[in-house]
Amino acid sequence: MVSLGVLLVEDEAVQALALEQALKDLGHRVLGLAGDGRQACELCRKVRPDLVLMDIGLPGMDGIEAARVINLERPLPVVLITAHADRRFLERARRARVHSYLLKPVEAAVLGPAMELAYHNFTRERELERQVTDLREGLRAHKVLARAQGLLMDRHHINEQQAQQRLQGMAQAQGLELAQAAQAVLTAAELLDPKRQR
Amino acid sequence: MGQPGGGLADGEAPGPVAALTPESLKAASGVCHRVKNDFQTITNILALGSAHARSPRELAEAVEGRVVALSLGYTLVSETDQPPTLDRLAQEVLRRNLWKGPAHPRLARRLPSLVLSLRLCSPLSLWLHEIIGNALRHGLEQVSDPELLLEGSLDDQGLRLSVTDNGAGLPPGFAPERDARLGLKLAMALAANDLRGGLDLEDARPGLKATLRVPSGELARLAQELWW
Repeated sequence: MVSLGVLLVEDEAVQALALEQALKDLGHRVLGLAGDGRQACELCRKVRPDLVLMDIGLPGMDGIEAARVINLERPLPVVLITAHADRRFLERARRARVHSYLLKPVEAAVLGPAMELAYHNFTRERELERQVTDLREGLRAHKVLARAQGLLMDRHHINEQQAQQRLQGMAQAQGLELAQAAQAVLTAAELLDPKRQR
Repeated sequence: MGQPGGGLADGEAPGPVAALTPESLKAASGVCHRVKNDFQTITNILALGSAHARSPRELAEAVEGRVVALSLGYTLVSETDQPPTLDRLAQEVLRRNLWKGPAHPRLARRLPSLVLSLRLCSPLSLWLHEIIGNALRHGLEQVSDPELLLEGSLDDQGLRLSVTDNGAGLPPGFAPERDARLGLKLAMALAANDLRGGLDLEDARPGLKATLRVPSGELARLAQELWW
């Protein structure tokens, strides 16, 4: 089981102490306790928890709005707890990228697996997002390279392999990545294009 | 057809809930919400007690005391048909705690006139129960002439409520955040979370003065929820 640093957000003292005890019993560390949504956002910036366990019904900014703000600033797994099984809460929670939603009273036997799953799903989600970003970047670089090669092939009447060698030579001479060299070729071609002189 | 006085005739099914007025249904829903919240609080009190008690007897006594404190507001309302005042609540918390002993101090109360809403009554009752219980059990038990003073003030800064004893005081080097046991932790959490204020512990030479601070804005917000 992973030991997580948790920010606990609960405005009722007895409930907060019981949840704190349950978290300790589950092997987690309570890094901070906030009593409202605004304080939760501030403490998130300060203590940088692994996970946020938060009541929905809070004075001022409620738990769902706080989850939305937290996820805009620095995405985190957020587990919400509430006394209300209300469809509208669930819809708002989904839009705020909340990872789990538990109904009170929350028992440790339910809280532990819900937190662990939320944390692992969040970590996997982040990894997938990173992979998608890398793939998008790779695809973009591949397109730039193909366009630059095509341009060199047209201008200099050379084949694909020769165009690639020219780009590689240019990248090496100027200390650039291949994609950067290809982009430089495209930019230069665009600047020199007579149609753009006007 | 119902019997005179609202009873049911033999074989008659209860009437539809829809026969209640919208106002009655809203009030009933409010009562159910409070009952649900209180049962949740009791569940949490039991869970906390189980984690901290050193014996089943200690657990039973601690839970009983807290559940009684939680019920005091309702008890006072049902007895008088009036919202309780701070003074009446404090008097009742004192009575329930003194009955159990071990100390029987001379008492003084100087409390401001304050009618309590439901949202104020439950946390104040639990706070008073924890602080008075600590004073009686830990502060005054060995004192030959024990005294306990409850005093407070209400102004534009908010409410200040103090419990002062002439007992042993805090042990040397005592740091509440680090050394507090469940009762004091609960009192600190009630002050900070439910009442959005704070708890100060001062050396009363001899004894201890515990002061609860509730800011005026929070007092106004918590005063809004009516009993009925």
